[in-house]
Amino acid sequence: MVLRNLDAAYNLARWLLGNDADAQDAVQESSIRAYEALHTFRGSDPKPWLLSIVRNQCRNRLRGQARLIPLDEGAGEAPGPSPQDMAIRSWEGESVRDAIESLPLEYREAIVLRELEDMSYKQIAEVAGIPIGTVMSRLARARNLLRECLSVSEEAK
Amino acid sequence: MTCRQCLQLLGPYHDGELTDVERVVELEEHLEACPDCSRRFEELKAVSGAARQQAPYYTAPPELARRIAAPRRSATPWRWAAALTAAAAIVAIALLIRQGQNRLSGDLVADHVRSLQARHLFDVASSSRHTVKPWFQGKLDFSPSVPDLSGAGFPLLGGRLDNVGDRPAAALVYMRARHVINVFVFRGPSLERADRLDGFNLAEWSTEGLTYAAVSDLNQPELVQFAHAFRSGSSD
Repeated sequence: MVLRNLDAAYNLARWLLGNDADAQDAVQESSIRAYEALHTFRGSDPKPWLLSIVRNQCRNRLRGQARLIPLDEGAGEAPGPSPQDMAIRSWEGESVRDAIESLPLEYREAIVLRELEDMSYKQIAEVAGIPIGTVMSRLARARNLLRECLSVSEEAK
Repeated sequence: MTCRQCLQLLGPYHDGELTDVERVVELEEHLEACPDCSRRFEELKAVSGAARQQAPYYTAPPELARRIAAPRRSATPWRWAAALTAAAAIVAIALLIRQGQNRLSGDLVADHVRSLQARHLFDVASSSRHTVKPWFQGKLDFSPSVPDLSGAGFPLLGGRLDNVGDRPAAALVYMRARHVINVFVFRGPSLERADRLDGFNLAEWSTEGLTYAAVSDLNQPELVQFAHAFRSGSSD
């Protein structure tokens, strides 16, 4: 089950945690959790169930990191782009990636699940453990933030 | 429709999540008439499209699959390979069981009912296991156990070729009083369970890579008793 959805699990973890090493650890930990919790799985679609485990695993990790290094937000492999850098970029891969990375966690996760994983609102609701109405409003908010972020760079070009 | 309502529904509309046809029509009419909302919709499409096309999809590095499948301790290569195979098998089997359980029960009950309705219970009618068992030779790529259970009160009536889902299966027909018991034998998930569906009882078990599924309108305790007798009878 985990191996079949490995790319989806990794992609979500990579987006939520921001680096490869943590993402790999989180997915490995999730696969163990998934196996242990297999008896709780009901239904026919294991993907949202598995991704909800990955999501919770990532959140636990972020919470742990926040306690250890409170001011580490965004400082992963490379320093984040300065506002000037952001402004001169067009809607290219890099700026889109930066824009999504700059979103607060719950909006980022909504975008990743909807746009990259192509999940339905119902599936996203299952992954995030929220009502469908909340999925709708989070996604709307996330897209508005993205649009603002990308428009700033567009206008300044 | 007001602009405010329209903007609220734009996302679900764009994502194909707006299923109310009347709302869709209203929204499309509004979009045609309202340049502001129409512009917002174009922006939404652009943002969504940019995320889909420009944002990286991080595929899992190959070593991650190995890490997940591999045992914790280092081991000799063949052990490592065996453990990897075993882990993959466990994952695959677990998935099959969970996903397929309900469908499997449905298939089995449907096959059972069909066999009774079509009055096609046997391709080979015989109460002798020495006739029924060899009959399957050359017709299937496995050989089912056909124990003699007349001593336990379950006489054999015969056997036939059948399908469970899309898998070829041997169907063995036993009887208890006036209840027909179909035992489907096929290559399937390893499982051990009892189920009940549409008034029929099911008892399933696995031996030597084959799944045995007994289906009958017989009551559950007697069917379980049958399953026990079958399994202990198979080992002689």
